[in-house]
Amino acid sequence: MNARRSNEAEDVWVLEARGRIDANLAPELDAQLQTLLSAGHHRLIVDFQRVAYISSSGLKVLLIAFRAARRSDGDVKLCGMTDRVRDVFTMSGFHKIFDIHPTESEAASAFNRSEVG
Amino acid sequence: MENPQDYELIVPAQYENLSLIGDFVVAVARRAGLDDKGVFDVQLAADEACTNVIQHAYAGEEGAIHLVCSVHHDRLVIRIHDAGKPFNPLDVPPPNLSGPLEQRNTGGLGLHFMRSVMDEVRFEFDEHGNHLTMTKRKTA
Repeated sequence: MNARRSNEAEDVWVLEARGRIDANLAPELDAQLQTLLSAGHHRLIVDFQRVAYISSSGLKVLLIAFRAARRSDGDVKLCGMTDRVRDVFTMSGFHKIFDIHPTESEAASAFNRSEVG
Repeated sequence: MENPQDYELIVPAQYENLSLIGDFVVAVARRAGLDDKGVFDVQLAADEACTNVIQHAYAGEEGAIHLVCSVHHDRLVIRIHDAGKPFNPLDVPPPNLSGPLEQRNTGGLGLHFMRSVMDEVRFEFDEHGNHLTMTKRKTA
């Protein structure tokens, strides 16, 4: 998993999640998110393009990061999900918690819009 | 009488074996003729079940997870056995998925997924340990 600054929105970081996010890999996603948050980056996009699978363990670490980001007036937005991964968010009701976009550009635009509003 | 075809896997109850369990279940689900959604569903159910076994039944102790996938003409049956502590699904409160964010409780989410994606989920416990049976029917 790799983190980089967004080219399309100010002060937004993109985490490229990767692999099978089960109870074995969730701690790695958690560590990456916590590293970004600890560095003061509270406006995050998690890109799911390279994620074929996520379990409840992955959802839990995303929720923890989301709560931390929101406490600092930030957000964790999600993008690039396959239909199957999206199903997991829908089944859990997490699709109503997270701002989910088809592409990274659209997620970045949403950050830019919220700045104006 | 129909003879189901059985596929078996025995692995140490460790998180790093979850992907191996996932690959095994996906391969058998494909062979059973489930569609892409069905294949993903059984992977999710088996993964959540085995995560619970590692986390709660063995709770850090060493042990084995024994999976048997039975391919019937109209369904896939997954049986998962462990020799850990008894697991009673009724002890797990259902997740609170719609309340205010700070009150949401994600405990029990794995169990919720198992029950959502499988047609039947049954827990039993005896002197040998926990026995979970989950059935996924093929869509016509």
